[in-house]
Amino acid sequence: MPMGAPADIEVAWRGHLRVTVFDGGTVPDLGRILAAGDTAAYVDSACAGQDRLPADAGEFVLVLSTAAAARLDVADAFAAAAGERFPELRDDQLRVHEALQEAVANAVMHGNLALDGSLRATLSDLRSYAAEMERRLHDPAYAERAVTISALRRKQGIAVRVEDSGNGFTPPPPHAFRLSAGGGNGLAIIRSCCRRVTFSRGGRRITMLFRDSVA
Amino acid sequence: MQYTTKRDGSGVEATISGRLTFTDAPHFPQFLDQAMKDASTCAIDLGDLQAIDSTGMSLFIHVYDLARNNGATVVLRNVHGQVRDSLRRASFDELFSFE
Repeated sequence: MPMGAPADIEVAWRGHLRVTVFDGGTVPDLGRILAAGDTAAYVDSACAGQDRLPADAGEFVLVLSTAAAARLDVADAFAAAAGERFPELRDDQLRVHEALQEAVANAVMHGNLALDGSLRATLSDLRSYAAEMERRLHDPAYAERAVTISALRRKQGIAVRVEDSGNGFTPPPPHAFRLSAGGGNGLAIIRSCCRRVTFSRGGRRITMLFRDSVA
Repeated sequence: MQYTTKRDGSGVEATISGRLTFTDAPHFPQFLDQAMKDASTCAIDLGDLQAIDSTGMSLFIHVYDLARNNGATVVLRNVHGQVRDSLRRASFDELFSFE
């Protein structure tokens, strides 16, 4: 553990990899956790199963539970930490943050909590939606599902990925932002922030490619 | 998201601060009840709102829907920074008056 590291993280070995483990159910500030560790992977101990650890050299990975992803400011923390590891992202920090915010929201709400945003289009629907969201965030079957966020340098730029553990989906064709209480604008915002957006793993993983400002 | 509401007859002054994001969906109906129920005018101060995402904006559409259904007037005050950029980009100035 690095000098001065907070007491609520632990550095452990997963196979040949050193990872920083934290309790996503209690940490107050994810940014402090990501800034304190010196490993490539950060894993929430409250997260169920399938921890995906760095598959490529230089990959930066955060795995956390759905409940933690809904409670903590994940986009802010990861965008800042990714900017430290990939300096060429710093010029794009606001766009990375905005895209990550939408991608994490999709992973949590539509992916792991399996909530359909169109079901909050009216106020009475919103009340039902809100109650069901709250119930699922306290149900371990949903709340412990993993959200995995990673960043990796590619030839074309920096690829930032967000992957959920839900049922997957078929991405809709691109459309312009439209005013709607039922949502559906997250992907439009993501597409406006990135050079390229692709989906894989049945729609569970979104890969957002950001401009590499170092020519 | 944190919010306050102050009622004077059918006039309401509200503030929303912090961040209005997908994590606030479970609590937003409570804000709507306090800020919009039986209100003829509602001024919402967003001066301390630092960020809003697409879910936050879709939640805000309910403010517009309730106001339209009740014949109420809603004014958004002190909108700035990322919140102003996001709301303008989403054409919220077609729904609300900004002061």
